[in-house]
Amino acid sequence: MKARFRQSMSWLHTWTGVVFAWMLYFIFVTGSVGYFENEIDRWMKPEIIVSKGLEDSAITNIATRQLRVHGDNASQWYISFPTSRDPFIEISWLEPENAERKTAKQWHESSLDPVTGALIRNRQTSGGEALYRLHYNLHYVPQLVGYILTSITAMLMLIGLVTGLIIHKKIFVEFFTFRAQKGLRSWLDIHNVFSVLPLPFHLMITYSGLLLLMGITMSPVIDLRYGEGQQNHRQFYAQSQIEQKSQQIIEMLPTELSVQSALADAKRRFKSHKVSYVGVIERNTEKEHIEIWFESKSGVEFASLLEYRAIEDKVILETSLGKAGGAASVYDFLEHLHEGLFADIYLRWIYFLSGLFGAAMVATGLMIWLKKRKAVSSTNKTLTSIIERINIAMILGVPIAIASYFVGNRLLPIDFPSRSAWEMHILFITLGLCILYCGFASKKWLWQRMLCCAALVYGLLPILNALTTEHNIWLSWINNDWLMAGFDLTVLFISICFVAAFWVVRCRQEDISVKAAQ
Amino acid sequence: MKLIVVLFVLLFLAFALLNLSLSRHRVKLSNRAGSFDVGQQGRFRILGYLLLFITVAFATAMWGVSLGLVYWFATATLTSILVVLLWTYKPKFFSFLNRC
Amino acid sequence: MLMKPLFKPTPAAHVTCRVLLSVIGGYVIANLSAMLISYLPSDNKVDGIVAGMMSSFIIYTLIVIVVFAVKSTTRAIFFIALLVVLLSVLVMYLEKAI
Repeated sequence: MKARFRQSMSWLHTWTGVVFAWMLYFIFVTGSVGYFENEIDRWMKPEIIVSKGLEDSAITNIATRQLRVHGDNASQWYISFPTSRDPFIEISWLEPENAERKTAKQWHESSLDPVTGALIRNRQTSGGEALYRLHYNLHYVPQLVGYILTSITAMLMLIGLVTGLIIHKKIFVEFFTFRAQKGLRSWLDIHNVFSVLPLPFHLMITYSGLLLLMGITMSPVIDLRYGEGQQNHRQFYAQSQIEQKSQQIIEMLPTELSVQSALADAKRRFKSHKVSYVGVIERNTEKEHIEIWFESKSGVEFASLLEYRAIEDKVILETSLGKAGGAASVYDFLEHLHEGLFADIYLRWIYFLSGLFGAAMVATGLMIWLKKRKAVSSTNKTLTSIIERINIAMILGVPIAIASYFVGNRLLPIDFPSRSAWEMHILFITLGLCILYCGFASKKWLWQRMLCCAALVYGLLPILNALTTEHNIWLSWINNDWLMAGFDLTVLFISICFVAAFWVVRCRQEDISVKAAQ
Repeated sequence: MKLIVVLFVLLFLAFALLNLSLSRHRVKLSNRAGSFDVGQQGRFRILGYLLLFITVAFATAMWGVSLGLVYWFATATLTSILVVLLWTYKPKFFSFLNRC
Repeated sequence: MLMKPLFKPTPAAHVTCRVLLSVIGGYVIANLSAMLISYLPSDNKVDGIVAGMMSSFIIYTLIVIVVFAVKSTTRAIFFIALLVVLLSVLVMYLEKAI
């Protein structure tokens, strides 16, 4: 009974893993990159001027002046202060729909020159955000299809994880085991290492990923219990997110209430916290209020919020105390864990690495599957060969495609029409080219050539940056522009890793051919 | 920052000890790095689990329960992978534990 | 196609049947049990629904595992059918009663 059970679970593990494996790999890689969304964004907008040592009140002055000029009729204003992840001033405003010009409601954002206070004309770019969104909207497909496909993938991943745990007989004994250079044994070992050691991350990220889209995938539940239709779903979502708030009247006259005074008051209350951004919400209506967001210091919350609103002759301060519902709090917690916005630089890197371990887990799983398939004589040789080729194309093509996205950002002419859309097209064209190349080139050299290509394109990035902008590693280093320097050094390191992998594969192949000759 | 270093070192030690407490693994070190006392195995295991326990307590005390556990799991992942890599390619590194 | 023969005679029909059972049956049961769980907290309907949807993925996983773990395909069909009927009767009753 037990052996049979394990065998059926092993079958389930194999197939849930293999069916959507390439998609899963794509999601893992793009999602991991997404943890550095802001840092990537900064690199893709090299025109941004880093702001240092400016007082928050001075920043508010500069920002509100520009907001008055450009977004006076906007219903929402946000000013973000320089933080370690975004060391520059940025304003954004929500322009209402305009019947005359037939424009819909639209968010505008712009970074500011800290010295002159002028808007900076950034190049058009999809930025880090589009790259991060890839891992759940898949870009070209309609949003709903993207959500459903990623959810199915995540569901298969969850089943794969649980069945993997069931079939792994010696999880504690083999906790640290990696027997190198033993063929299939080594692949199994390394697959275990990449799955078991970051298991808390894998379980958390898969389950919370499913939760984030549950309003769509499990919509029949809302339909039956709350009401059908988009209107009802939206209302349900709003109601489930209701927060408990404490209210207090503060000593301030409603006429005195402004972004400046609210900011000063908030800073008095929380001396040790840094303000990350402030917002003016529902401007020019009765419900107008000011939000002050702090960088959070406790728990996994990204930020804590203070709201100031003038009601009749008083100013009321509202502090958020977390979600009202028990289940909603758990959901909230898992959502924050998934997004990792609270993470400091150390945790952020581990998030990124864990995500890559996940990608490696999928990739090694595929390798094992292929190896086992090839060992069975009855398998369809052409089919296996095609899968093997696409496999190489995906495993190395996805990183190459991401790098080409960055190359596109630097090489496309600044005034190129729909430039930001083309950055994304370049990513997918490159991926397509990789698949095409792997489909036809000689299989013997495929790994080596693709690794070579990946090393080249990642090594090219800092050089391109130095050639096409005024930023280079050396200058960023002396100017303490750590985000710029960090990006360039990271891609350089990735390039070195690909070179190392290239050498390993090359030596292996030579060994094999020597043995074959003997 | 200092707290992270402390957590990192303690967890690394914990996993190194637990790794050596697995009998199959100890043999590998005995072969490559001189003698290895069989009686140490039990001590290593107890010490390893104790350290795991201490680090959980330490992390939750320093950062609060939720964030502390995040730090703990993150650092545990990192250190255990480090132990695996070192154990595979530089097993002699662990011979310093031989003297305990 | 399969790497290891799993079900003694491995007719593809049996596997297809189990796959369909686990995917569709699992989804239906996950939804039904989410609805059922959403009735549990009587004071906060919205939070109940959130809790139900959150647990549905775990239930889905368990159902898939059970469908592939049971000895015969007939038994799997029987199991899924029983659960669907039972859960939908319960949900319908609660929907009427409340």
